Amino acid sequence: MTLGNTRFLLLLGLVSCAVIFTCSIFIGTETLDLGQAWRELRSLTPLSEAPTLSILLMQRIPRTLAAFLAGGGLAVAGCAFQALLRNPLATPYTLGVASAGALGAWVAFLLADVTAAIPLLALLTSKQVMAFLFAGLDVFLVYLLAARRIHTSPAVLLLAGVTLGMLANAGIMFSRYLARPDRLVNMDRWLMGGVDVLGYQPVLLLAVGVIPCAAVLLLQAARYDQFAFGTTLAAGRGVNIGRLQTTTFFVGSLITAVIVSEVGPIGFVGLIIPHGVRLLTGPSHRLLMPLSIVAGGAFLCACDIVARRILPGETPIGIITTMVGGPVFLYLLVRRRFSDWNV
Amino acid sequence: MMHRIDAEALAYSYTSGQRVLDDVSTHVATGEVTGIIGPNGAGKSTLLQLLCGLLSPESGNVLLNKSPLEQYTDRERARLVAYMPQSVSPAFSLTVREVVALGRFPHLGPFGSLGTPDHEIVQDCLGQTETSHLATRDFLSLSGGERQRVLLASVLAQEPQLLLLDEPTSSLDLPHEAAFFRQLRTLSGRGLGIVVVTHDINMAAQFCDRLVLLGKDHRLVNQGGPSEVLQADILTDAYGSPLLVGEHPQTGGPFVTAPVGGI
Ligand SMILES: Nc1ncnc2c1ncn2[C@@H]1O[C@H](COP(=O)(O)OP(=O)(O)OP(=O)(O)O)[C@@H](O)[C@H]1O
Ligand SMILES: [Mg+2]
Repeated sequence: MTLGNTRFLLLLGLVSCAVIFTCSIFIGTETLDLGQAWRELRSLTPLSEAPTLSILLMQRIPRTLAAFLAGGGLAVAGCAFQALLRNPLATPYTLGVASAGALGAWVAFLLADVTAAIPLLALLTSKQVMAFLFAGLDVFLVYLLAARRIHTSPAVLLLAGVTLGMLANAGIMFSRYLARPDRLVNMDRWLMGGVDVLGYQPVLLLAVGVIPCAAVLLLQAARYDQFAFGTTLAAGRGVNIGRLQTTTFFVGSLITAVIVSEVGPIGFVGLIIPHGVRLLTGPSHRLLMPLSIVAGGAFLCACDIVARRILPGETPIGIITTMVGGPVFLYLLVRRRFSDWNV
Repeated sequence: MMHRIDAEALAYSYTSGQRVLDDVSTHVATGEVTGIIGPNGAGKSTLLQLLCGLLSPESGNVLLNKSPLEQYTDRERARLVAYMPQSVSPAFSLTVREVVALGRFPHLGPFGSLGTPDHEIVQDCLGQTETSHLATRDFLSLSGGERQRVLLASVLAQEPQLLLLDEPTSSLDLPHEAAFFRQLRTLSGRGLGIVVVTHDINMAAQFCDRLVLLGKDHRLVNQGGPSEVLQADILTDAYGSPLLVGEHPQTGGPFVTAPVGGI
């Protein structure tokens, strides 16, 4: 990878991201008249009386930002998990983190009636906190396996993650069975994932969770490169293996929990984005990770455009990422094999 | 400046109660080539990993320049001591140049970006190991021997004072093996300290200043100059199987071989 190539790729990535970003703001169930929005802004009408401007400011922009943050965060978490476990299939999903987080948020739904009266308890059982607790528990169990020195193979960890994910899903099924029928519709809708946020509170929560976590993961990029040859060689080069594992598992589950609790479980982003970007950049994480953030964000914005505009109504985005991601991934699997992985 | 590692009465077990290394004391220093020899499973690889702090001894101490190894940060240590494992398998494909560039890690800043001097060092290490022509090849496409030379380049790029190599010549043909050991001598002549685990006792006899012989009972059997350590009774004891010692056809030094048909 020459420097010129790198710059070109970065530029290309940023430009296509900007294009998708713009489209995401202006394409929707109603096409926005920018002139109208501008006139409304100029005349300083209050938002409640400025329909176009209010759609732009309170719906389209927050929604685009939320999609970008969620997509970028899931993609960078995927990169980190894959590097750490030296396996192209390690993602927030296959490790069970996302399902566990969803179960946590789900439990928070169920508890909401009971805890609403007591403010402190309500905070402690908020969906963010519960999602993180459950995602953290999942990762902790996976980590216990990883920390057992006696060569736990990444394949075993993945199997453990997949199993834990199934357990979490069973928990979700069980709580659906227990839930009041009138709530079920809302809860089910959330489970299918969606970035249809209103206003800036969800965006702010996402930003506060995703940006610092992504920064911490990006700072590990050179260490992940060292993992290419396994832990012994990496340790010999001065990488603190234990610390890197702890950081990655902790931050990776935090970022996943924040995203899942805000936009629901959205699959496949952490799997196909790093894989696709790697075909362009090669394996160096210093390039792969930042570009994956951009590509993941743009991918989710694009899926959201499809959700709002191309398919009828407001299709849940989780369905779209999986319907797009699944076949693309199968194609990559068959055509390109894991040419860049030694598995 | 001299750099050295001192090991004092090291013991280690992977599973409790099963010592794979017992009461081993030795030292290695810059400017010397030290060979570690002994039968399969004696604990040679374990000793090497203890010497560079990848494993912590169950009892005993490892001192790097007279200070306990734990007092160094991982990066500080990696700038002084480099380690090349017995076998590696990369998780994903990297070019040879990328593999060698990985060696620069302990010298780089938080973002891990390589500057012009780093690229020059990488190029130089490729040259030293005669792997420049492979630079753009995929590491996974190389032969076993080519891989070992590229790995040597990558630990050289780490610019250590002490270089710990675990069976670096196990896949090399005889001329390349001899060339590899001659290169180790050149490096030690420039002040580097080399520790090499090998099963080729005769190469070790020719090219090492000191030999450390571990026995099948996981203890130190003998250490010292090649002619001191390589004696038939000592070797037979260490390997638990008869070995013969004759004269090297060229140097007249010790020459070790196994008897035909047993004795
Ligand atoms: N990770 C491990 N877990 C458990 N036992 C181990 C582990 N690594 C090595 N051993 C055992 O410790 C003993 C010493 O192993 P070591 O790798 O140090 O031997 P060695 O002298 O390098 O052998 P070889 O010449 O075959 O490379 C062996 O009996 C081996 O089975
Ligand atoms: Mg060994």
